[in-house]
Amino acid sequence: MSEAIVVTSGKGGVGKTTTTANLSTALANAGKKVVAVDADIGLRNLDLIMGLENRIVYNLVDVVKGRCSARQALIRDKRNPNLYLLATSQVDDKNAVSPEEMEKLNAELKQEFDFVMIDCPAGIEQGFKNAISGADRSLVVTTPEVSAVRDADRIIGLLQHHGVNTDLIVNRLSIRMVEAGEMMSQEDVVDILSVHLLGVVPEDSEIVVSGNQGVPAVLNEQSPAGQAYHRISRRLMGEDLPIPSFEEKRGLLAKLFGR
Amino acid sequence: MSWAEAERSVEIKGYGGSLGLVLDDSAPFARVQQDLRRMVHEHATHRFFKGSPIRLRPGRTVTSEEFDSLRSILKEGDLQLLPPELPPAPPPEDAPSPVPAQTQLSLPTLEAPTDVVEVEVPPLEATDPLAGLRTDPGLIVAQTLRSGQKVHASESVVLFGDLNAGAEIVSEGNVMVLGAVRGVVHAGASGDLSAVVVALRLAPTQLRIGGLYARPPAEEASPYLLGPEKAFVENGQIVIESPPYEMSELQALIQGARRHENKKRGMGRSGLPLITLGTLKL
Repeated sequence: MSEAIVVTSGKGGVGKTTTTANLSTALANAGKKVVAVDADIGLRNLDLIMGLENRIVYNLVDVVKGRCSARQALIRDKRNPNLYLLATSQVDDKNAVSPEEMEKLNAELKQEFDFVMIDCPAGIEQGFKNAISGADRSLVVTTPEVSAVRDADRIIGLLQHHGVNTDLIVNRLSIRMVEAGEMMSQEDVVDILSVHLLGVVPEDSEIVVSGNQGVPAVLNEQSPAGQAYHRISRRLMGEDLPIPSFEEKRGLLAKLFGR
Repeated sequence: MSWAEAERSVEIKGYGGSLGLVLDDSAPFARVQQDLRRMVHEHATHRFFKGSPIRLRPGRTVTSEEFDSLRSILKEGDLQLLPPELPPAPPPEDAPSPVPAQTQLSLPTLEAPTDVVEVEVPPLEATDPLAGLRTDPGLIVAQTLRSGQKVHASESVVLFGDLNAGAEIVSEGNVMVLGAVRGVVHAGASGDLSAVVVALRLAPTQLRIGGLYARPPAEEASPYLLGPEKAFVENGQIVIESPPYEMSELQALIQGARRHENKKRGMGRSGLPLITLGTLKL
């Protein structure tokens, strides 16, 4: 049973592309056949984060317009033979494809892959409508900031209107700031959005390094964010893995620093 | 049996699967009480009707005191008396009020299903701000209203869910939210200043009643401070009132120490005016 999962947020810069790249990599490492689809037409990024920019020949728009087959456009990952990327076009815009075309593409990819991970553009316009077409479920990424949470709320409303199931990922949570009362906790965010929380990714400077190098953080066992993505991928595969609570994390830190 | 059937002023009859209590309208009330008590005690021996709800049938008008007395007699036999389905037919000649006392009593529980255990509902006092409230059935919305979503209704609105920031309810009647209000809510939108907003957590971005609009004081802006509250207009100002029972205290106990310090601020809000921003032209 394969699934098309759209990673979306409303607000830009909260970690959609990072989440797509890391979850795709983690799922592939677990032996699943995965394709990561960059639906952010005109603002191509997913290939950079996955370190595959220099291998692109054909892209999503080419496939949709019939200029090549999906098989020709898929780029195999450098490290994992189970993982493929369908890059997007940098020269077209969001109106280059229609929701119906995306739905057809998803159906085609689902025949080949266990997971179709779709990286959605920011915003609620055509690009968003395209990206959610044909998705079986959605992962809404937010940071614990009021503007991101507000946009996530708007997006969840739209997804529910389209009948797409929604799980939440809280990204870039700073334990120190939550403790200091300067940042919303994951409970506060869930309290506002009232959707199922799939995972919490801690703030981690390693994400910037890994993005620049094109090596997803999930491959780095020292990266707390990478390990959080690893846990989220296991939950995506149906594992019942508890989300470590804020207090437990604190306990671990306290132990480490002898406090 | 020493009592002849014909002499009874009280009868329990079946009405389409449920039981009805029929009272003779000519007998003195003391006699009705006496007969009912006797009947209950008789039935208590063979427990024929035990636990059944019995609805008072129209035929004899009873005052609320009389109704209470009948109910407590039936309670002795584990029987539960429900108010009549329809207001008893003609009010007594000497009742000057268009709403006789006995119908006032039955109003709050009129629609209650027969299997629900009765709760003591004291009759509304004239000073209760809820007394003059419109009681249209209202529009029921069973979802969380999220940013960008809006409900506009000519009737009252009951929301089963949260009203999130960026979402809006505009109602010409009252608004009741079984959840948190974080967005904009407008009750009595056609200018009705008697409209109220009730919510389990009232932390609106902006709250409007009739032509008044207001915002909560900045220091009260956190959505985690509050217990159930009601907003209404008093002396030309929108004010917020906590329930008479200390729900905020209960909530603090339930939610644990994390929200303990919020409790005091929550309780201090009773009767607190919102900051009036101005008046709308409707």
